[in-house]
Amino acid sequence: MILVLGGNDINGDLMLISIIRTVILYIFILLALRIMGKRQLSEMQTSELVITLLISDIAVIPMQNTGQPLLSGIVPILILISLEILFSVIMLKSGNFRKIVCGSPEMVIKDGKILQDQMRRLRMTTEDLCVQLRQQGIFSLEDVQYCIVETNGDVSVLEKPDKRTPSAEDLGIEIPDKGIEAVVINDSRYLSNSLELCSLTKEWVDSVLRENDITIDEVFIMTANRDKEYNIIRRD
Amino acid sequence: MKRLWYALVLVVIALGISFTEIIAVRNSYNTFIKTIDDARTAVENKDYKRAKSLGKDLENKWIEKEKKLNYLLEHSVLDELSMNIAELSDLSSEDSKNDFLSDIDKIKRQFIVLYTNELPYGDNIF
Repeated sequence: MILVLGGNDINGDLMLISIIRTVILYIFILLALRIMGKRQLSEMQTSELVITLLISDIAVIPMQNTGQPLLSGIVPILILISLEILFSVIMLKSGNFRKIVCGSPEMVIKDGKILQDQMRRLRMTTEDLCVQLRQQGIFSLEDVQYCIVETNGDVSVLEKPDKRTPSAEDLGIEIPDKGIEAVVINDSRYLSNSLELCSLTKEWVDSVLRENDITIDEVFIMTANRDKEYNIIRRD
Repeated sequence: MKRLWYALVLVVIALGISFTEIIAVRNSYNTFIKTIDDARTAVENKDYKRAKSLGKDLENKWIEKEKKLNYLLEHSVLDELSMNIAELSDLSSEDSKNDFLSDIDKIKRQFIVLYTNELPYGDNIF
């Protein structure tokens, strides 16, 4: 549209159009990420990285160029979301397909020995390997029994037995199982999922608050576990 | 499996929008090509009054269609067509006959390109 709107306000109107489109596309992409599922937001596989990069690049075009119809950004994103969902379902059903798209985990240290051929194949240097190990709290290659490079590029490590942290079972110690500690009040609001997780009730939480002479509006965060051990942090 | 249904719905929506675009452009093409050809014939037959009237008719129909096409097509392409169509009726006289014919051919070509560019032919895809 080349009609003059409001005299000298063409740039202002274009900015307004950009603002509206940005809001629309932001909400649309949020919904898209929700539809694609939680995996998209955590560790990404190759296909997921590709889709995420493509969606971000495509969305920017109608945001910045008001001459492009908004649908020219939305339609490709719809197709990308559909492809991502379809691929992830196929990968769930077919190991071979998953292998083609994502590859397989590769071992780079086996029985304490670095597999140099494997590292060359992965184009991984020893510096890369050491960085990954240090991020896992391991500062010596001698401590590692097995090291596997996962399909998302992360590294999984099994230390040598004498370097591993002993568990309670190894030490013959019995540790009582207190279940999980969850946030039951957050910002003065009850979290019913957490209450259910810890087999607690709202009535119990209210009784604890009464005992501590505190109202729910004064609570910043309250955590508890199924043994009814709790911790309350008041608002400043 | 629920997500698979979402994917199917999204594909249907995307295809629906795409086919709507093709149909809208095709309808525009069919609507305007006849008027353009008639206007050309009128000028060639020196019926400038009819050519002017057809030019105005083309402009009025275009203003209506353009509002819908703006949702689907690049605005700069439509803007250029708008400008060319707007000039047409002023050129329908003996003195500017050649300009009229040249413009009308340009407009016709633009409609043909607009239509053929939307079709999923190999040269459009690649």
